[in-house]
Amino acid sequence: MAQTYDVSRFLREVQALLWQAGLEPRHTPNQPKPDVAASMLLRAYGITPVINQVDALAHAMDNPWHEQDERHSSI
Amino acid sequence: MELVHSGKVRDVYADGDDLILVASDRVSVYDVVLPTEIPDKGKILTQLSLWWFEQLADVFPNHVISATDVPAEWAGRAIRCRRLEMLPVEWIARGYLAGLGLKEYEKHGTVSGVQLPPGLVEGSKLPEPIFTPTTKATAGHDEFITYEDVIEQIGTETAERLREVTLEIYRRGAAIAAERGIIIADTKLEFGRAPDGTLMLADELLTPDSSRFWPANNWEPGRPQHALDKQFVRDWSSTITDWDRTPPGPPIPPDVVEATRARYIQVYEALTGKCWRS
Repeated sequence: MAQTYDVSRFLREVQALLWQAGLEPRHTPNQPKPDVAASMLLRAYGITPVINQVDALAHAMDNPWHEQDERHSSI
Repeated sequence: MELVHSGKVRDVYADGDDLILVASDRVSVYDVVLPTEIPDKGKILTQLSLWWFEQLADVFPNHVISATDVPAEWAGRAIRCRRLEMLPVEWIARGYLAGLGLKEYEKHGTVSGVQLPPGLVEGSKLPEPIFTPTTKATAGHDEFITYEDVIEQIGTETAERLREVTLEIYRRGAAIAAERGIIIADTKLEFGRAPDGTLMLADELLTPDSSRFWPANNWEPGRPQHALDKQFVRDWSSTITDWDRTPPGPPIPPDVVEATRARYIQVYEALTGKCWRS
């Protein structure tokens, strides 16, 4: 059975850890995106990055894709 | 049966090892669910998604277990699905320039790292469909990532395979729709992995909620294109000057409800070649 771990959960946990250490994690431009970096770190440990299916469905259901794409294009 | 998520227009239930996706007749505009439903919308979109899954079953396996083994009150608008672990990428294919793709092209001449020829405008058909993935982690916005980022996240073999599958599904779907007077400008797919490791298509397939559908006879590059499904609701809502586009939304007038329902049926019948029976 493959080892898997939820990327969103992992990101939340890393952020919390950094806050606990007195740091202020933020998304910086021109750096690897946090989700990509998180997936790379998990893979480096032999763990397959995944997303919880219900979370993924909830996200898709609450953000019809083209509406989300339109919204982001106006930001 | 446990309700695990109630979305704006669809709900998810857990039933043992399966999930049941239930589409409602609710409709949203500007992210606000309106108090008036569009009769049969949930059934039409569910049946359309099932039709596409069937049409494209030879391209890739999908998560559908049954469209009939669902509680009677959801008959026609629910799908029993396999539980999967989802890949952390949204798989997007674009055949036309719109939305975020247009914005990036206007800034950089690229979309998701893919260089495009100069001179394209809003709604232009691209020389060939392109793969423009975004992140899928639930924190923050989905953002364009490059194909190289996808490889870093899930490995070369899976990335290559699913990029090809995404483009093939788009090409096949767009070609079928084009024969029937509908442009599928782009689409978003989701893939997951079953417990035995099999990769599968998940969620919905080539519906107006996961794709941009434009009427081919009204297509004109250089301006925003009409959405085939919700244009009546959008046009009507844009005339409501005393609504600030926050909840609660205004009720939809009966003529707009009927016109929107008719448009959903028109899309279903045009694509499937079947007569809609509610």
